[in-house]
Amino acid sequence: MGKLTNYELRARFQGDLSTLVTYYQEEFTAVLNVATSVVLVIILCCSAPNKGSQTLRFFSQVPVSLLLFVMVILGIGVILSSVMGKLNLEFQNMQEGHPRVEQKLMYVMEKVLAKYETAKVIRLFDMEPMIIRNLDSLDKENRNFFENMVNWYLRQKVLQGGTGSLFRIFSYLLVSIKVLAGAISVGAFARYAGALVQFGENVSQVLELEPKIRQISLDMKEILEFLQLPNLRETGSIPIEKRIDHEYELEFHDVSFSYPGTEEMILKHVSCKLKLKGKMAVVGENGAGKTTFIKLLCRLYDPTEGYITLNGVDIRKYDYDEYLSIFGVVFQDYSLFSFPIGENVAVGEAVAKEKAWNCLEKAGVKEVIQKMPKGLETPLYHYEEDGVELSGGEAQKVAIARALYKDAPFVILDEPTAALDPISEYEIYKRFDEMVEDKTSIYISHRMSSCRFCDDIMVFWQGQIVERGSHEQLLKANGNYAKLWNAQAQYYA
Amino acid sequence: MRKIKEKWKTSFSYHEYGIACLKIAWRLDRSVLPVGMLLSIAGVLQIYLGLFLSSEIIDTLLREQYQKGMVLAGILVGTNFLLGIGRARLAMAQKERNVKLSLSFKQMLREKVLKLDYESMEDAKKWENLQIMNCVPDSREICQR
Repeated sequence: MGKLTNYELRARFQGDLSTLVTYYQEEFTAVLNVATSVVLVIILCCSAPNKGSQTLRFFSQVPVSLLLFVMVILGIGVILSSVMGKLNLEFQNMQEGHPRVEQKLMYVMEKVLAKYETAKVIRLFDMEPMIIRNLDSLDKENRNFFENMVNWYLRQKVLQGGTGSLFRIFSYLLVSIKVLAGAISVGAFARYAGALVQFGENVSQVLELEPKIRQISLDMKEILEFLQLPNLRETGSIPIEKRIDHEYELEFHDVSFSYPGTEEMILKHVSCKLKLKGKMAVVGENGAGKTTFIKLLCRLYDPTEGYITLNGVDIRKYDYDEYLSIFGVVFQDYSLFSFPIGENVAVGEAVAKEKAWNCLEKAGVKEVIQKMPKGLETPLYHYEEDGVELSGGEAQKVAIARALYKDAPFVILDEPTAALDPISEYEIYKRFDEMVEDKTSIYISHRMSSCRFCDDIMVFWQGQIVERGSHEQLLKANGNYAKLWNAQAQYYA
Repeated sequence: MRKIKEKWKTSFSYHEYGIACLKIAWRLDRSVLPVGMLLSIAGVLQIYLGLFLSSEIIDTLLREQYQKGMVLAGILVGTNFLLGIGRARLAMAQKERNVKLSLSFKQMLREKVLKLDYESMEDAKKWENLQIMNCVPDSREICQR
């Protein structure tokens, strides 16, 4: 996937909206300040002399003082922009290499030193000298980076301080000349000298703020792009007909599919009708297209070619959320959250306790939950003080209970017993009828034995349905299903 | 001239994103920007009013108009006091609004994540974007299999 590590990502993104707003507000203050001081400086420059020596009168003349002011500003501007440009480039180069060092240091600290699992290997293979050597070299690089940073900041401050002092000297000189030449009063000295100092300080402030605004704005660019991402899943407007009899019929019409950005067709010309209220199984080797078939059924993706219908209507025409409401799914990679068990089961709804217990019982995990001190209120995992850890099998059963709680007309179980021991798996099969009741169920499994209780089995091979029928019919046909069955059966013989 | 214009434009093009962000801030909370602007205006007013009144006081004292000088000094102290209080209150209001803005923005991003279609979530580049924004913590932090 080419994903960056969390550290790299967080290092790249250092600001947020409120920081940017604050910087802009500070810049607005500085610009307002500069504008006001410029008006005052222009007034100062425009004040004509009425006394003093020839030289004083010359420098105090309106065009001369204006020219002097502009020349000083331009001169300082040129010095600042050229030196600051070089300094900024240097800063950028310095920063670019740094995350790699930090990332490696974090890796050693988090994944090597602080990890229980690595402790055994480190001790058994006497890795201490190697780790210390690596850490030393990383520390050295880190130290160098910070020394360079301090050096850089020092030079930047010297430059700013130097140009600022130059400007102050010029400011006091100009205002003094104006006072001595009688162009302004003694009291006005304070006003104009102050205005000139404000001008210098605020220009410097703008120069300091611009790189900061630039940094955050460019970081925010990624967020802006993200916010503008279109929702690829078009949603129709037709509501799903609410049927108590659960008579929903789904059909694939010549459906082919390739994942976005790839050319390989994962599903090829799949046409099939899902038997109403039937117990179906989807089997096949790894990569045969079983899970993709389910993803298309649940509209996590849309077909590349062909279409799927629900009661004769293209599923894209239905309201997306309503369409999703007809599926109760347990994927291989189900997720439970660190919330109370009741909320994990009733997701999105107020927890109806009796119904939740009923579903947990059907899934075969009621007794375990009942033994917990807070029952349904028990939080999962140790993110909370009184949270509990469930075993893989128990967690999978809670995920099954969640799918049952939804009471959807279609129940899809994608490798639901993968984490279960043989006894728990057997219990699930035994209860399967009770679990799915009058719903249409689709069962995906690698374990051929677990599909025997289904009355309709679809065999996927290289993205196509190559066989379909009951267990007995498929065995008799002696095709792919029989091969898969026999291949697994030989280990138990 | 055209080259300089173009260079200038490219050098400051990042403000385009900055302004887009300010628009979002405006949408999320209409009071953040005005409060910030008022704070800026109050700050600048305080500085220049101080400079103006100080110079007037010096001139008045030099003209030996002590009574007028006292009045001006009173006005200087009074306006400084009032503007100081006003600025402090505005600064407090701005801080409070900034915190709220930050939270609403995060909320907005989280809502976008939850509304995003699954297909986009599986896209590596978009996933990277989500992580950058730190609005989706490492999946191991919030859920376990």
